Amino acid sequence: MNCPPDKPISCRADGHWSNDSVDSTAPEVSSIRVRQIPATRETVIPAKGLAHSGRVQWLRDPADWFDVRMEKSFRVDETPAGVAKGDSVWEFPETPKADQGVEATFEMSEQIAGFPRFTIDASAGTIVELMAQESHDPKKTRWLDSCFFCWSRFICREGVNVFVGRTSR
Amino acid sequence: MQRLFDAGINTLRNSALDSVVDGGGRERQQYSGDGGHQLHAIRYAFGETRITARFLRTFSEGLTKSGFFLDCYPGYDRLARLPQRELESAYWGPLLDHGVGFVFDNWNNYLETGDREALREPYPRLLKFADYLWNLRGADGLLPVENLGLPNVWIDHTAYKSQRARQCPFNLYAAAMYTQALAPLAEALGDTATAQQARERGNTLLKAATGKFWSAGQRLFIDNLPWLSPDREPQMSDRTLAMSILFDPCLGNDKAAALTALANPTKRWVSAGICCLPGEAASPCFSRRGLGSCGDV
Repeated sequence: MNCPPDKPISCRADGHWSNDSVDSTAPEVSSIRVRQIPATRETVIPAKGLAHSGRVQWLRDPADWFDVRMEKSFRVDETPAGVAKGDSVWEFPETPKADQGVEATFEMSEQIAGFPRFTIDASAGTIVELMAQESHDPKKTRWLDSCFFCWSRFICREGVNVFVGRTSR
Repeated sequence: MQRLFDAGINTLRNSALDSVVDGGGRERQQYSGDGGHQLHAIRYAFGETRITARFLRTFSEGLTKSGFFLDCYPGYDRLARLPQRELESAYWGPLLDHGVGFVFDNWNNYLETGDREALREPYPRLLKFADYLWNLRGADGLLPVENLGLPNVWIDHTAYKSQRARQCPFNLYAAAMYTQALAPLAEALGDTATAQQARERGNTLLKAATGKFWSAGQRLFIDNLPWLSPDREPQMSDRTLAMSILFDPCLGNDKAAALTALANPTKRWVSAGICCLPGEAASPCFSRRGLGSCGDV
């Protein structure tokens, strides 16, 4: 490889990994650095519990809500919909119709920064919209919609799906 | 009270992973200005100096070819703002006042750690920024706050009714940067010529700011003094008043009027200083420090 040993691989002068030069960097301003601080310790922290859940009746295409926060998109039946099935496991009712949904808010024991993850056993095509936020006041918003309107969308395969958010929250 | 401190410690843990960001949940960008004051807490509360040294190096890498710092770096946002500012499609651009704050970040880190190695990379970049800033001066000898092109001057979200009212605090801040951060930093590194030049520049800026914004009658800096009229009341801000106390710019070092005004807010001065994030509380921090330095907090 035509790249000085004290330079990052983006400085290589021969064929770049992307077979293009657009990702190359100038050697005179590029360097390999010794790590200054230890790598972050990453641990899986389970939710403290299910804060609440309910059934959602969509009054229009759910995409209108998640894309542009269209008002009066839904009604919520606040009767608890989730049933505990063991340690950190809950079961929620099926939603066979397009205008049916379930909402669930999980509480962490303290504010943490990380990548939200969950495992779900669901029918193919089930859509999970996930929002991780802080400072939730249930008197103001039913679900965790306290600051940025920022959802991550996961679409299930048939059966057990393990999802990890790609963006730190 | 313990719950409050626990929350503060937890917030710092979440906002200082591999860089020191303004919040682990929202922007997640390494700001000076908005977030630089977290460095004090990280050093004092945790005895941690590796990540504060890393802050100095990595933030300084956001120096543009023109000579101003991206006010948050590493961070995607300001990189995206550059073309937006070029096309005049965004208000937010690199904030020059955060670059000023970054010079203080370097000085404070050295003051609290004695770590010269942490300055090795940032220092030449600080000098480039200091030159850039100095060359911005207008015909009145002051740094402008309008029509700056790519960068912008912020100071505070809602304290100022007009952009031009930011000129007073920005120049007081920059003058103090030269005399009370860059000059002692240069001296500490044995760069006496730069130290002398920085003091001269700071004093020159302060003289120009005093000429334009110092009210001899009220013994205060008034943010809108040049534009007063019978139907326009004098406006003060907690940021200007606090810097009047912290950086000794008042004529005759007479801080009494500034202290009285800062401790007794009226409808004539305001500051939002929103505190929704660990960072972004710059003006309230200045205000508390100003009062605290006089024993009023």
